[in-house]
Amino acid sequence: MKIKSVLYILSALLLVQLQACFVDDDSHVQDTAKTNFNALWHIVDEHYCFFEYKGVDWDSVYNYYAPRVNDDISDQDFFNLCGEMLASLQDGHVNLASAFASSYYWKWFQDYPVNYDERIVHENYLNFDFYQAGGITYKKLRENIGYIYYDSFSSSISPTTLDYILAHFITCDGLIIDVRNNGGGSLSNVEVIASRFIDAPILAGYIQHKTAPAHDALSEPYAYYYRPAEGHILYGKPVVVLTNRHTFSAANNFVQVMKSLPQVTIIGDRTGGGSGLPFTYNLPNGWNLRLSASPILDADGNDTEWGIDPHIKVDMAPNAYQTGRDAILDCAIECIAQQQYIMK
Amino acid sequence: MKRFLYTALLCVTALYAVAQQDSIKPLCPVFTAVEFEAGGVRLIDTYLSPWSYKGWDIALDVELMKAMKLDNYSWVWQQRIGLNYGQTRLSISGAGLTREGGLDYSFAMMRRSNTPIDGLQLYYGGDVSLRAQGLYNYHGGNNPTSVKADISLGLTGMVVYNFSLGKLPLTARYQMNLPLVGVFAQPQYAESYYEVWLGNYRDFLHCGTWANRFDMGNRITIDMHMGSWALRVGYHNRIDTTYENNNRYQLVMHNFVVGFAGDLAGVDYKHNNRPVIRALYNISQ
Repeated sequence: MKIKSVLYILSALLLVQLQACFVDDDSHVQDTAKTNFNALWHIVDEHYCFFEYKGVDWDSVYNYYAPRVNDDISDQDFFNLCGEMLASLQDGHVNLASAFASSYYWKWFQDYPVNYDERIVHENYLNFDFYQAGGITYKKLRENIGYIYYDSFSSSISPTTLDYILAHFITCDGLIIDVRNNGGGSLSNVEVIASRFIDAPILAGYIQHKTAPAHDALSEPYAYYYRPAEGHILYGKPVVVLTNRHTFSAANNFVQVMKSLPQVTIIGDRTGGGSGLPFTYNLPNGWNLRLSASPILDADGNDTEWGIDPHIKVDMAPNAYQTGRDAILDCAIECIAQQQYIMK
Repeated sequence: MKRFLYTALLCVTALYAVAQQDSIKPLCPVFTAVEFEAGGVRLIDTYLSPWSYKGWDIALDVELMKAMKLDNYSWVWQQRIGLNYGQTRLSISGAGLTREGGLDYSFAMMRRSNTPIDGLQLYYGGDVSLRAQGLYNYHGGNNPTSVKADISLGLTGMVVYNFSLGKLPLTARYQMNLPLVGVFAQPQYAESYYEVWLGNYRDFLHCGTWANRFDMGNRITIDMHMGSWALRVGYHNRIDTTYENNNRYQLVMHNFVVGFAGDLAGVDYKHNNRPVIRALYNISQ
C-alpha cells in the first residue's frame, strides 16, 4: 500500500513537472543590464527589416556598444546608451520606452525646415473661423478652394463625417489636404480617406514581412488594393496634398498613395518616411522596444523609408511669422486656381 | 392441424411479447458537470515577446456525457465546452502584461469496458476539438495580439474508479486528451494581422501534427456522491504548443477544479419503468 501511495504521488509530481518540458524555462535569466542589452540587440537583429536597405552593420554596432555595458550602470545611463545604439538605425519608428523616458530618433526631421506654422494658417487663411470634426479642421477658403488639415491618422474619421466635409466642398474648384506635421497613425484611416479620391480600384502598394530571423529573410511583396468608397461622396476635382518632413509613417503612406493619382499634386517638402510597420517587444526588464518589422512599398515597388519627394518643392520663408504667409499653402492655392496640377 | 395452429399462435404471441420487451428503450440520462477552475498559467509566444510570462487563470467548464445505443450501450459520447481567462506578467521581472483567454469545445466518443478490478472501468476513443484562443500583450505596436484557432482530431481515454470511503461513495477519474492531427492558424514569423486582413493568407493555416504542434489535456477529479448529485474536486492541466514559421507558442496551465455533477437536466424516473443506463456512474434517485 505504501509503495502504491508513493507511486501515485510520484505520478502526480511528474504531471506537474510536465510544465518544465513544454515551456522554455527562462527563470535562470537575471534582470541585469547585460542581459537586457543582449536581449535588445538580439530582438533588433532578428526582427528589424531595413538592415539590408540601409546597409547597417549591426554586428559592428554590438562590438562598439557592448563593452560599455556593465551591471553597475545606472538605469538612466543604460537607457541613454541603448537609445544611442538604436539611433544608428536612423529610423523614426525605432524607440525604447521605459517607465521614466522614451528614446526617439529625431534626425529625420530636425535637420530640415519646419515648414508648418499652425498659427499662420489659422490666423491668415482660416481667420480663426473653421469647423473641426473627427480630427479634421476644415474650411472653404476665400479663393473657393476647400482646405482640410488632418493632424494624425490616429484620429478616426467616420464615413458620415467625411461625407459632410466633402459635400461642403462640392462647389469648390479644388481641395487642399494638409498633412504637414502629421506623424502617422492607423493605416486603415489612410484607406478611408484615399478611397474618396478614386473611381476605380487602384494598386495602393505592396507589403512585406520578415519570414525568419536572418536580415534578408523578407517575404515576396504582397500587392494590396484600395477600392472607391461605395455609397459615399467621391471627390474628382483637383487635389493638392501639403507635406513637410514631419509627414511620417501612415501620413507618408497616404502621400505615397495620393501621389499615384492623376488629379493629385504633392506640394511642400520631402516627407519624413517611416514606411516600416512597427512591431513592439518587451525586454526582460519590462521596457518596450518598437522597431520597423514590415516594409510597405509604393505601387512601383519602391521603398519610401527615406521619404517621398513632392511634385513641387516649396519651403516656407524663414521670416514667415513676420509676413504671415505660408508659402506652401500659397503655392497650393495658386496651383488649383490656375488648374496647374500635375497631369500624369 | 389444431395442434399446429395452437403452436403457431403461441409462437407469434411469444415473439410479440419478446418484441414488446425489446422495444422498451433504456433511459440514458445526460450526465452533466459544471466546473469552476482557478490556478496558474505559464506561457510564451515569441510572436509577441521572446520571454515567458506567468500568472493566473480562471475557467468555467461544462461537461455532458451520455450512453449511446451503439454496440449495446457500450459507447458514450462526451461534450465539453469551456471558457477561460488569465493574466500574466514577465516571469523574469514581473513587468509587462499579457492577457489570455479563449473558448474551446470538444466532442468525444468512447467505448467503455469493465476490468477484472471491481469498480474500475476504462474508456477509450477519439475526439474532435475546436479552440479559439487569444493573447493580448499591452506593449502596443502592430503585434499586440496573437490569435490561436485550431480544429483537431485526437485520442482520449479515461480511467474511472468507483469506491467508498466509509459511507461516502466516490468516483475517481483521470482523463487525457491527446490531439493528433488538425489545422491551426499562425501568421508568418513577423507578419502583421493587418497584412492578413489585407488578404495575404499565404502560409497562415497549417496542418498540425506532432512535428509542429503538441497539445495535451489531463484532468483528475474525484466526485463525492451527495444523493442525487455529486461534489467534484480535482486538477486540470493543459498543455498547448505550436512551433511554426520560426515562432514558438507554449502554454501550460495548472488549475484546481471544483464543481458539481449529476443528472442536472432532470429526468422523471418515478413514472418510468425503463431501465437506466448511465454514462459514468450510478446516482441514487
